[in-house]
Amino acid sequence: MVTISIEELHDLIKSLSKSEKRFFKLTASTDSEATACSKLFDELENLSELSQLKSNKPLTKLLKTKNIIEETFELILKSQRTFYAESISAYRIKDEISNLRNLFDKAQYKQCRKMLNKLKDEAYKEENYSFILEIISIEKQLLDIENKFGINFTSLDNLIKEEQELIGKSKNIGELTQAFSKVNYLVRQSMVAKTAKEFEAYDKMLNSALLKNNSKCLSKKAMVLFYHTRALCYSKKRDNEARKHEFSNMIELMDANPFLIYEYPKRYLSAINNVLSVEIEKSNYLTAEKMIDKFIELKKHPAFNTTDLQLKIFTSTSNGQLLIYTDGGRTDKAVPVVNYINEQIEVYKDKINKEELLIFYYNFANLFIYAGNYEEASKYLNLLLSENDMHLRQDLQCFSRLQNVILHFELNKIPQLKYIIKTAHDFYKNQKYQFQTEKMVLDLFEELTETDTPHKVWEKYLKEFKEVIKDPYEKIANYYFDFLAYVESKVNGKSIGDIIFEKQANNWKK
Amino acid sequence: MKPSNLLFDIIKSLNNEEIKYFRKVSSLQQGEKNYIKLFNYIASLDEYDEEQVKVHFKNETFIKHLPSEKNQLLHHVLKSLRHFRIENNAVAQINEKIKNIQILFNKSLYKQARKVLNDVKEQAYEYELFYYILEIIDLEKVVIDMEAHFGQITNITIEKLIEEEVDIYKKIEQLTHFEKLLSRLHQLSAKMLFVRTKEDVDEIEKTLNDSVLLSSSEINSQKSFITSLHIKGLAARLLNKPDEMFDAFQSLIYTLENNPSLISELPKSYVQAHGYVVRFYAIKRLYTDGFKTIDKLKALWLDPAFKSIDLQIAIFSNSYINEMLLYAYIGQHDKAKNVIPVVIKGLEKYEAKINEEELLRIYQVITMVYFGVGEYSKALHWVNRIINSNYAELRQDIIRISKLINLIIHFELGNDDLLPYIYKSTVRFVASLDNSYKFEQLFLEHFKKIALSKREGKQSQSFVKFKEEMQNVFKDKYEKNALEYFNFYAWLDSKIHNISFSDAIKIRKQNMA
Repeated sequence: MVTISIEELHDLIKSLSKSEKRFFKLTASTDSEATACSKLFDELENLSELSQLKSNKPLTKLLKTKNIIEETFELILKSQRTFYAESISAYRIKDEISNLRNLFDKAQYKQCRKMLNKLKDEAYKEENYSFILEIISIEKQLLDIENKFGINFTSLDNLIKEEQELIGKSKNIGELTQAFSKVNYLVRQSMVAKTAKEFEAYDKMLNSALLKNNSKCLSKKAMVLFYHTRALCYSKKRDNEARKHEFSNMIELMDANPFLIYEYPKRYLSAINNVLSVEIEKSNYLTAEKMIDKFIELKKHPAFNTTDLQLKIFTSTSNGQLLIYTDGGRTDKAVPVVNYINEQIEVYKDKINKEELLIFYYNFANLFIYAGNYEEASKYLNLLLSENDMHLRQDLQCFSRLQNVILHFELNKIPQLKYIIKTAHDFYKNQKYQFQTEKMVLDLFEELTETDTPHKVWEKYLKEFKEVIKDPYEKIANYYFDFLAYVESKVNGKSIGDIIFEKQANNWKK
Repeated sequence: MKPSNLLFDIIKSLNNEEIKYFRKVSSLQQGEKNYIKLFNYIASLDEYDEEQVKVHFKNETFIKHLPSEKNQLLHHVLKSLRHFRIENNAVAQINEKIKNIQILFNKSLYKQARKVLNDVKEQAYEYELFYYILEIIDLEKVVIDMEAHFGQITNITIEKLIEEEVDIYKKIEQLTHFEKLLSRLHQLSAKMLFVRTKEDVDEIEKTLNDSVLLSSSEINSQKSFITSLHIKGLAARLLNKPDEMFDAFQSLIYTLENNPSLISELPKSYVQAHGYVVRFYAIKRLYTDGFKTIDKLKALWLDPAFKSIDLQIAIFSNSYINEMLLYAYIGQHDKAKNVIPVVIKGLEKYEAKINEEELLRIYQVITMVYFGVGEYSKALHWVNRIINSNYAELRQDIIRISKLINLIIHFELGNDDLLPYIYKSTVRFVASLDNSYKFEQLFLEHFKKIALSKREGKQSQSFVKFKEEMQNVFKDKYEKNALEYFNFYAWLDSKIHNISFSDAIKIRKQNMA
């Protein structure tokens, strides 16, 4: 029996929907030995915070019962298994396999064969290779019996051949998963490739025998991984057209074979999100807004009916909205989105992963800087900077340091600003500059702290920024923060929000 | 098979515990349930007759949609069997726990999912449930992805998981390879007790010289190791090397008993190994050990891990049949005869489910026992069941020897009028066979002299001569195998010394001791 803490049990109870709770109570009511578990469930359900535990006498008394936490945990899972028995494809197949075993044990060999063939067909349609291997293991036993009765549906040699083919297909999926994992790991560390050497690594992957074309894909599942890995490589190379092409192929394949959506729901959402991101990066805000509406509709799709996937849809669509309204100069529309996101963060609490939180905080800080609400921007930036995981989203960690410099300047915290610039320099000593823009921003503020003629400094840097941004690679830095608009606002005496609004007005038509 | 027959067969196959469980689960649903009524009625029938069901329920509304009611009942019975299995079978429980990982993951309870996953994976490894491990690894790939997102430190990487997956594939491939080798041997053993032709011996030698089988250090799972022992044991049996056969099967039993989780995974190997061990004890005249092993086998009958009909049959044939065989071996045919009612009861229960190969073996042992106690008419009844079977491809050895025994039985019954015809038919049969045995020719030659000539004083000399020549033929180890089916020496001794067949066996055993 797995040892479960009271916190873990509490989390499980809190994660249940109303109907799941009702079903649990129904399950528990049918088991005379589950009375204590049922009581513990009720007590914990009513406990809003676990800190109230000590003051709850009935609960502390209940907890003295041996293994009660584990038994309650197991009983909840048992009720959950029954609750989802029909709706989760994998459970249904597992139950059918169990039926096969029972029919075999009861010597109902003919019926067992009939059901086995049907189930195997279904499992093949959904490319459930581990299940098919399990079915074949039963089929071997059945074949042994059938042969002794002179029935020859197939031969052991054929079954072994089939098994080897399945293993081949599974290994192929494994190879592609490994390739995907390699790219994914790099993507998480930093978003884009800059140097020729970095490009070379991705080109090498794209031209490898496995990824060059889809001829090495032995199954539709492998095809999904193939497209996803290639799309990530292109994403890393900032080749948005190719990235969109690969992700669109992936979506098309999955839409045509819905079992793939159930098998890889997260990948499907990721593909949709990436196509959306491409539209946002191309500043096609109208298209992006429509896509987000469709994306939100996916919440109702049964394949995404789990907490983590609902959460993924929430984070992707909310971030999308936040980005189009912030980058599109519609900060008025973006602020309600922030409020909604904050509410949802409270609902999902620790279920939102760090990476998603970092993205939210970064985008919030951007939005409030554009909106001129520097106090609010500082609040979110501090939340971001307090995360100490240096492996996560190094790109955001770099740009957040520049946001910090800007905010100190805007809030007129000049003494601290010098220190912040120094620490930012220290940070970059270990980090290397991804973009020339990053160094320019630090240089700009360093000069500003020492000059009596700031306007001249702004003008000088506006020129330089305009020049630098001609490099398509440096343009990327401007996606993270519109430095050009910021410097322009200083030179022209306008708010950054107004400048962005004017610049982006036409992009809301496409 | 029609669904209604399946429903009937399944309901009739339920044991008391399963019926009790079905009723308990059904009682959880409130209100009157048609499917319970239908269940109770079908359970009371001896044979399924749909018309009878319709008449019985003619006043019930549900009878108008009987097919859907039957489907519903089947669904409930299968569901109840699944749940019963979960409560009583460790492997089924592991299968259920895998579902828990997904449930917890879907609720974003990653820590809990990891705990359950580690626990289930450990258990799946203990039982060497390779397909479950693959499923768990698939889930683990998603779990580690989330762990990375949450910054949880883990030393498991996708690369490690894929390595682990590849390792499992290797285990599956090796096990499959051994299963294939074993299957080839099973095909041979379905046809004969011992191999005789050079081709068959070469085939077995080839199996035994399989490179994977030879390199024991490369065997990568206990399941493969156990299967490799089964191969070695069965090969030794087919080559008639009892000591090697015993070593392999005894080692198989020890290995399984040291890894009890695997007994439920390879139950048939466990049962069959005991059967072969009994056989060895019989050959070595270690009768006490033989009977002890039979008792051990019989005890498995009640073990839930052996409740499947296939295994119940394996236990039935390996225990009761071997018990009769063991008694017959030592000339205690009267004791063997006491076992026959149990065997006949078993046959009534399982006959349709027992494969032809096994059936022939059972009929042959019963024939021997009745012959041993001098109940020749009954012996004739059972030997006819062998001869009249259409199982030419299976156990030709038993059919061939039974043709000869048939002659002996008719001789003992004094069916002198019939004997010439049966003799001619047997001669034709033997002539039509490939690879005829010298012993068969010798038998027919002498039997003609003994049985078809007038029964006179010189007959005793004919038996003596027959025995001398038989001893000569049996110097060939392949020819000698005929004695495994019927003790021809004892029969000749009984004739030479005018004693019973059982006594002749006893005396022979004493002299050999």
